[in-house]
Amino acid sequence: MASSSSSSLSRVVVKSSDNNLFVVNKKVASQSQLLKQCIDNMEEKGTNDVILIPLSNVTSNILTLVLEYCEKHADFADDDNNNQELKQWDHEFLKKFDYATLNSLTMAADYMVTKSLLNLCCQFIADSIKDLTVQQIRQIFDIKNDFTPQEEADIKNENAWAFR
Amino acid sequence: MNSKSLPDEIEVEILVRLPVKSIQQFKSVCKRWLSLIESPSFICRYNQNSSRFRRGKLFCYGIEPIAKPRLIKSYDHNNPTERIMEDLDLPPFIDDNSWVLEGADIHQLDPIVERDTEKALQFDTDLHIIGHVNEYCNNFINGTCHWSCTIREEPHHTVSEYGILAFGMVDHSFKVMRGPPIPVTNIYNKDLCLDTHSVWGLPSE
Repeated sequence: MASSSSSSLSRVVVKSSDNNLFVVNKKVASQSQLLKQCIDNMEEKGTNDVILIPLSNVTSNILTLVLEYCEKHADFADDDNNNQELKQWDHEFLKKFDYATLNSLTMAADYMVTKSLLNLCCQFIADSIKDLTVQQIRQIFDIKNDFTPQEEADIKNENAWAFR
Repeated sequence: MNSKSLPDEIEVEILVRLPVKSIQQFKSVCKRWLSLIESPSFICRYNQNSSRFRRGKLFCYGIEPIAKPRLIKSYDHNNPTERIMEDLDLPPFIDDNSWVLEGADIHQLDPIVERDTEKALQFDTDLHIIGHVNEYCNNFINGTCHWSCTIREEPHHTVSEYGILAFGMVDHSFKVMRGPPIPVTNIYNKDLCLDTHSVWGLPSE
């Protein structure tokens, strides 16, 4: 985006938890409610300086991904979420990642209040785990089985129809 | 990459998007997930989400001509008269008194099927769904809800059939099992009480 001649901010600098700086234009940053709130606050105060927003919970490789998503979605209007091209792009975008990355991306989306990305990630994870076995779920989410064999068998028996 | 486990609230966001079959299986992942999935707040949240994420197709048939079918948007069990109904403006006509409801969700009908027939009749005089349903999930077997219903392929048929409407939680599809044909006059006999609230499902896509 070309630098704006108006008095409002045209870009912000976002700092990742590992101290890398990202220059982000306002339209892209506004995809995140957290960043948008910071920008709005600064504009209210009448600041013209470029502001620095530190994100203590997001590493630079995850932040890169969030910003890639925001950049793509900034090109579409708010009511364009059903746009087929965009949906396709979303799917291709998430398809590349392993569960660890997806988890981190989901948490970053939550932290940065990027609701559409959060919804997208949750739906994507749900779709990809729905047919997995209980054992696979434990591996992916790093969960210890704390049932006794008898307890586990009882739960499975109660819901036997679901295991067919 | 830090693969530290997700916070509870994000886990919930993922779990509410899963089909019932997966949810039932994943109860045995660990004690925390079991209590989470069985908690009232989760069940409530899951049911709210159901209309967005798990849609089937319902076919509603109006016995009185052109009564607009309505769906229940919200419902308070302690105060049944306070239900909020929404007219469905969508339905493309099939014939003079029937509609296909695209995307209608069986869960939205829950409040009806939980009520006894008389009360339901008072509130929903405009809503005619084929098949007599008086109790929700009392026939919940092997992951499928069953309702008895009547089946009429054409409005002016003189012979109809008893049948069973089944909604499979596993594949989220409706199925109809046909019973023996009976004369249509018997169906509208008050004693048989089959013409009040009824459901017919078409297989979902």
